[in-house]
Amino acid sequence: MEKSLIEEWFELYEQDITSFLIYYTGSMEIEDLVQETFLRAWSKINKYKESSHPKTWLISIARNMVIDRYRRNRVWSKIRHTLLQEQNFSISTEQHIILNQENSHLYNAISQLPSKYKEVIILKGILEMSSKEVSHVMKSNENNINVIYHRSLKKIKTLLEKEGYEYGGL
Amino acid sequence: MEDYKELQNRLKNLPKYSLENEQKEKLLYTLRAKQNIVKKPVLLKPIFTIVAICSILLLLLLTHEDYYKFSAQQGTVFTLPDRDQEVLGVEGRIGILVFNEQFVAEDKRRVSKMMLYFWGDEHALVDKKFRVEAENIKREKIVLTEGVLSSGLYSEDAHTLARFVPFPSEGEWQLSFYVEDVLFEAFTVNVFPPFPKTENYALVDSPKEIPIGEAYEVYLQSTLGEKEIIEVKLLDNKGRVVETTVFKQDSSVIDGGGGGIIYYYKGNLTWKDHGMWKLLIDGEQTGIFEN
Repeated sequence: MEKSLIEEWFELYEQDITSFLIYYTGSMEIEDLVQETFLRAWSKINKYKESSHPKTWLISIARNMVIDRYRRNRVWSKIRHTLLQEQNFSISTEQHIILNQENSHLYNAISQLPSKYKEVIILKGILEMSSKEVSHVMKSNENNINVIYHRSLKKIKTLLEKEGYEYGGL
Repeated sequence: MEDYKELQNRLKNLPKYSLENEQKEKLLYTLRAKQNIVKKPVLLKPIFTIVAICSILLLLLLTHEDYYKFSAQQGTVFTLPDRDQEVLGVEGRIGILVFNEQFVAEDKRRVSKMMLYFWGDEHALVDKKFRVEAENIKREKIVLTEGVLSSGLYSEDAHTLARFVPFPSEGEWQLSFYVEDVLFEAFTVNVFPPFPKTENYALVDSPKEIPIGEAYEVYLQSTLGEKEIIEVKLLDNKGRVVETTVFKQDSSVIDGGGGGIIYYYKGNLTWKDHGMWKLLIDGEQTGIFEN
């Protein structure tokens, strides 16, 4: 039962987890993290509450896992902002190939957001999760998520305009 | 808000990533494997525990008899006080005159005519009923012989000429000597394994009694007497022939047990070391034996 459930979830939500981890860590080398996410999910399957959506639950696991890893490395407190704001979202050559120029600008703008803003943009903006789902992942409330989300959008727009990108000129 | 909608659309249209198919398959495989590894102990742990407990109980049950310890002392070889003759027993109490002071399982020859000597109160021994019982560590018990004691021949206080029932198996046995159903003395002996034998031939000596590293004159007995000479091969524990020799018919006797004529063959064999061996006698193989 558990085995088939996890495998089913893997087929359904692998893309969401992979995308989240790539955007969240800024690295394309996330295969191990994806695997770890599903293994952790399997080991904690008894704690899974059916009232929550499996995708939300899995993303929470992935997010906590990444945070735990940085904490374990004891560099989290020092480089937290730098890591999430700059290094993690610096665009690699590989990603440049995938992203067109427009997206590169957008991506760079996201990378300059404060970490919490960035998380909300990834979850709600890119992965299209509802405010309620994002609030579950981030252990916050929906209103707060909505506020952060709009502030993030505003910030991104400002950053894009600063770079001379004619935002409305698509 | 229009601008934001546009921005939101662009965010939604940012690429979604997925692992390569190969990566997915590998990951699924790992997931399944890990799940199986984790699951097994959960399912098997109680089974292993039960099996382990049962095994220990069974082992204890089966080996329970092996923990049986004899109360008697081990028999020793000593020389009779008034003649140059060695006996096995407890000096000053009981002595058995047996070939090489050694019993061999299933052997009738050595136990067919045995002199038993008793030392003690002559009046309490002579003309009294006696019984010799043997018990091994598995608590198998047999009566080796019984009868009436005669007066001493030399310095001993009583004696008897007895025929023992052959020991059914090798190992440690306790011999208990009863006089008028009262335990007179007891001691333990180590009985050697049966003589190596084939369908028609048997060694007359126990391999454990044959010295190492020298050509030893070995006797074989057989009920077949047609052949003057027979080929004998010594094989090691891997079945390799280490010695081939010829045994010649030496003599024959009439079996006192009514088994017809017994023919004896004589030859030399050399055991270079202790170990496990087999003999191939006139094309017939013995079981594996230890020297």
